[in-house]
Amino acid sequence: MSEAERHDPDKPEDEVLGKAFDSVLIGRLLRYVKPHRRLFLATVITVVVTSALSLVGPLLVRIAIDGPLDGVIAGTTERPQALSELLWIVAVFGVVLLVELGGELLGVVLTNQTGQRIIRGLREQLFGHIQKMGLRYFDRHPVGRLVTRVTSDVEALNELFTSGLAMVFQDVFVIVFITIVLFILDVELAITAFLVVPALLVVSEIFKRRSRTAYRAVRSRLSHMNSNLQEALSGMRVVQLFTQERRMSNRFRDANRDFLRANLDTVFNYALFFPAVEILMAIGLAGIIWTGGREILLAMPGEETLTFGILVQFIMYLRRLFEPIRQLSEKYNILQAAMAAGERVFKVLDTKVEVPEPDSPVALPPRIRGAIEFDNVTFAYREGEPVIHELGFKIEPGESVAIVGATGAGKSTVLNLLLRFYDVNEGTVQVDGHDVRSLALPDLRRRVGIVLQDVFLFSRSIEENLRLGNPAITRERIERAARTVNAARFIDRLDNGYESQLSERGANLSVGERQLLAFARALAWDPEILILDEATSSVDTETEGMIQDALHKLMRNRTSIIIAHRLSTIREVDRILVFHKGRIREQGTHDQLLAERGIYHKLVQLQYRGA
Amino acid sequence: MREFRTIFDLVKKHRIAFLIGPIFVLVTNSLRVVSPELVQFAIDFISDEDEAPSLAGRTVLATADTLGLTYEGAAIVTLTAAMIITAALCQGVFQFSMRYVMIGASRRVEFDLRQRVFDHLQTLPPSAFESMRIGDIMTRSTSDIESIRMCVGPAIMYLTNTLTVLPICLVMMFFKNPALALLSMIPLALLTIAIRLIMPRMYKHSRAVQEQMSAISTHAQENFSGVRVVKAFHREQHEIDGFHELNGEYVRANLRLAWSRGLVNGVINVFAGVGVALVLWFGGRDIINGNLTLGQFIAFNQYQLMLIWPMIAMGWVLSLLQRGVASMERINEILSIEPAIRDESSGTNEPIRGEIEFRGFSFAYGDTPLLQNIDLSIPAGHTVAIVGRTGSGKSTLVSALPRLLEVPRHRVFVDGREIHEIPLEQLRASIGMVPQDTFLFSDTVRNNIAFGRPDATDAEIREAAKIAGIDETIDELPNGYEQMIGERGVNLSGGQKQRLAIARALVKDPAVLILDDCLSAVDTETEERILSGLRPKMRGRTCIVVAHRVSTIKDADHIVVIDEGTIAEEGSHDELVAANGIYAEIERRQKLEDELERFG
Repeated sequence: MSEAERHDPDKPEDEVLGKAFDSVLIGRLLRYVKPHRRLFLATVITVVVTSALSLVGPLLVRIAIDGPLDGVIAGTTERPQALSELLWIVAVFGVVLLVELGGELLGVVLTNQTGQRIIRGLREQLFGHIQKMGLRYFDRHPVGRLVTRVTSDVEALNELFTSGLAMVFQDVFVIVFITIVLFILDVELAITAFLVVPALLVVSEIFKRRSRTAYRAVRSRLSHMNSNLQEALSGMRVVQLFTQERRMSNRFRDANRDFLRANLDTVFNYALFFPAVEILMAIGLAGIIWTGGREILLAMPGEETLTFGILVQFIMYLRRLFEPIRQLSEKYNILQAAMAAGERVFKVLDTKVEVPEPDSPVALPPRIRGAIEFDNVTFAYREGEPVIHELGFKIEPGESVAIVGATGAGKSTVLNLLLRFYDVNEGTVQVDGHDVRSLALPDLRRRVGIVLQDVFLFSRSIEENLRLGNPAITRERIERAARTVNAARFIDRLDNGYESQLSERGANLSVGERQLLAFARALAWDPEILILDEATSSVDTETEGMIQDALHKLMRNRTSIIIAHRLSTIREVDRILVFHKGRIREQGTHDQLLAERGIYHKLVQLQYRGA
Repeated sequence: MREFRTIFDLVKKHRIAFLIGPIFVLVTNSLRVVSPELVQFAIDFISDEDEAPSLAGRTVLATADTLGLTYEGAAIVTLTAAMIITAALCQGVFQFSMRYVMIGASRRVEFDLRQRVFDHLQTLPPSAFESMRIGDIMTRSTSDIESIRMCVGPAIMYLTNTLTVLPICLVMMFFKNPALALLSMIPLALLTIAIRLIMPRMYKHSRAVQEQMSAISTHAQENFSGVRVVKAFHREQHEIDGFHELNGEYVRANLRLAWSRGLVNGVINVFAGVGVALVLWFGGRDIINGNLTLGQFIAFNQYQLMLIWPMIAMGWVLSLLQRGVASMERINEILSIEPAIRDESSGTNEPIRGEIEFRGFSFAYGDTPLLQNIDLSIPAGHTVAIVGRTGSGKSTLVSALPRLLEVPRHRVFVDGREIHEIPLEQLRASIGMVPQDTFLFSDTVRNNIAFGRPDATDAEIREAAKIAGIDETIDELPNGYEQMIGERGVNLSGGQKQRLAIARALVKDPAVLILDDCLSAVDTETEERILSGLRPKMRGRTCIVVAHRVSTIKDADHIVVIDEGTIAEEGSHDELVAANGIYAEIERRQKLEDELERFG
């Protein structure tokens, strides 16, 4: 476990369950809809029109019953005429159905189109923002968690935008429309039908509350059980050494059982909710039959009364009215998950970039000289634990310098500060006399090429890995660079040459090959300043020879700083800086330093004995 | 379905639930038809068309008779309404029971299965966890077990539901009007076929969406991991552009999925509508011709609506079953790993004194030989130090003693007994081992120290902490020995963790103590203090110390230098220094390092 993970400040973040309604958060989310408001409006209209069409069926049934069917029964309409009227009604119904099919299709597609557009914008904004963060941010936030932000969390918001938002309009419309129609048709009957609505709302509310509690319990117990499992698996060796298998099994059983209980609560809730809704629906139905039936039966002969058609329409609409209310719980879960995800996403977006770009950067000439100066620099990765103290040194243009020292002497920090991965706490780092903080970041970084100890390669082609998308670097330049640093030989041997795909982190290449690729990359980019963190891992003599040769060519005509681990490299440079506990303690050439018989002498004996 | 045999006994354990559940489904669905029948009767009664009332109608009339009600209209309507509610209440009771029993049982099977997987994992040797990543096991024990549960619970429930409600409704419709019953089945059958046709498309598209999502995830992952390179070469915009492209692909994949989803939604609604239209046309014709009553017409409508969901559910059930089989295979993979290290002792419980012997011991990981022909004999009560380069096989050698790896037969002896003949639990209980990478549980300090002996007294725990040189640190913690450590508590430094791990081994009061390079994170001074504190405690016990630092092991009775899998040198400190070999070289380096450290 790395340092960063152990001190992770937002560990419990993933376990936070947001409120289901947070008006500020919703307002902020809605702002993302604004640029797509036309599309959104079109979506809402389509969805509403489609659901209106889906309500036409019962209406036509009523017209049929009260028209031709009743006419025949009552003897007021001739059969052939009734049949042709019926045919017309069915034909209209057929047309409505076709339009509805189209509307339904269009509705889903539009909903997704809107949602996806919104989400794409948000995801790219998030990715771009994380990308701009200083390295300190990446030290504190494990990669896995950042990936979760741009994937699962954004996906949870997608659910809200695609399934959630448009559905709300649809549901509201269906409820309002049915209510109005029912009241127009027959007030008394409508009141009867609506008598169960308060009960339904109460049942839904109870269910919502219970399932919220249950949902939280399930989530927290699941995460407890999983961390239990994770721990048991990671510590399996210790468990077996201490013969605690039985106790661990019991401990897991407890967590497992807690999870089971929470789940059984949920099962109970749902088992209760579904029948409750059906019972309420049956009560509504019974109410309609009772009221409607009595109304018809008790009507005086000749009195204007409720028709059978209306009765049937009521029965059919009742079901449609219950549907949206019944699905409340599902929507509630979507909303809750989206709120929690939104909170986490916005937390990232609200984090300020720690290495800010200067407001009016100093413009560098096309070619810089490559002078470097560290002036009285103090720096700490973690507050109160400085790794370099009042460090000062100058490197002349074209000079090559090696930095040596024991692990933790602060060597790599020089690289981090020069490239402005981090900002100094005190003092200045200067390139050609300009404070690096006064330069535009791309401008600075374009001049400084790095080769890192742990060569990072993308799972893309070799060519892509060398070019990194810079259009100024031609294929020819890439091949020339590869030839110069002796990488061309192994590249040509690969099946697809420069088009060969690398696996994740270049795992299909050897350490030496990765190193040579990194050299080729640096050379192709042709920076004025080169910083190289030499790999400590040993390679075979042949590769070692090629690396040394490449290094030599790479250092030619540029200012070079090499964090050196190899004696052969150290012999090559103009000057050696000996770092010890965050300070420069000795400097000079190899022979001078050896003669001093100080730290350098010891380091050489320790590290390069027999090398 | 053969894959499910591994959980057959778990299902059998809850057989009552699995037998009674489907009965509840049947009863629920039988009660479900009461309501349309009563509505039919009510409508026909109101419209004076009940010349030949159905069974439901006759029941209402008979009940009215029993209750002494007249055939006066309003009373009959009231009674019908009351019966609709009564039927719904009865149905509700069974519906609740069906869900609670069936889904509940699936949750219990899930519980048992997860416990079985966990218990099985505990029997596997640590090497098994090297080939299987923990993340992978986590996924299997959560999402795979969940999809198995979906098979055992919801899938069975919805399957039985469809299989009962369909024939029941069909029979009821046939009794009213066979021709119309057949006709109204047409849209339902078409719906099922249409869904079956669209489903594969939908799966294909949703897989494409998944793949595109994982491409996005990989891109982000790679970008964040390689952030130094991205920044150093100022490729931020390029990366953002690449991300933009992937996102575009993802959006397109999603839209393709949306089309099939829209199609499914549309088809469902439209076929439901077509059903209504068909009944309206043919039923309406029959009404006009006097072959159907208005009540029957409405009942038909209700039956059709009742059947739509069960028909759709069939497609869902099929996909649940498919996923379940795949998941079951993945779980079986875990369960079928044979525990390689088992207790096969004859069961003599003689206490272990701590005499250890390796006779021609060799060990290989796969095809790579790690240790070859090691002969080493340690008399009880002696202290032996093992030194050597990283990867020379030191840890492997000491891991053989508590049988953390598969030990070859007749190569390792403890107290003169072949190691396999000693009960595994007793063997491990007598060995206190502090492994190289310290693992502590996120629990209190006290529970971590008492891990091997939960019954240890406070005094014993304190004493162990004292010897391990961690007592003062613990006293300084906000909650002392009750302080939570790890994820949900304070973070300890590497050296503090190592010392806690030593205390944990000491509390066991072991006959053999193995320190596997477990003081690498403390400074030399502390290491020496801890080791000198250990000495009196370890008197009369066997002690094996794997170390890097020479200064701390020079007092050992015997020092063994392992190099490239064999014993390269052995003897006392002085003998080895005099021999001027590997050991002497290590010693020289050590001195240099110490000198370097002293440059302040």
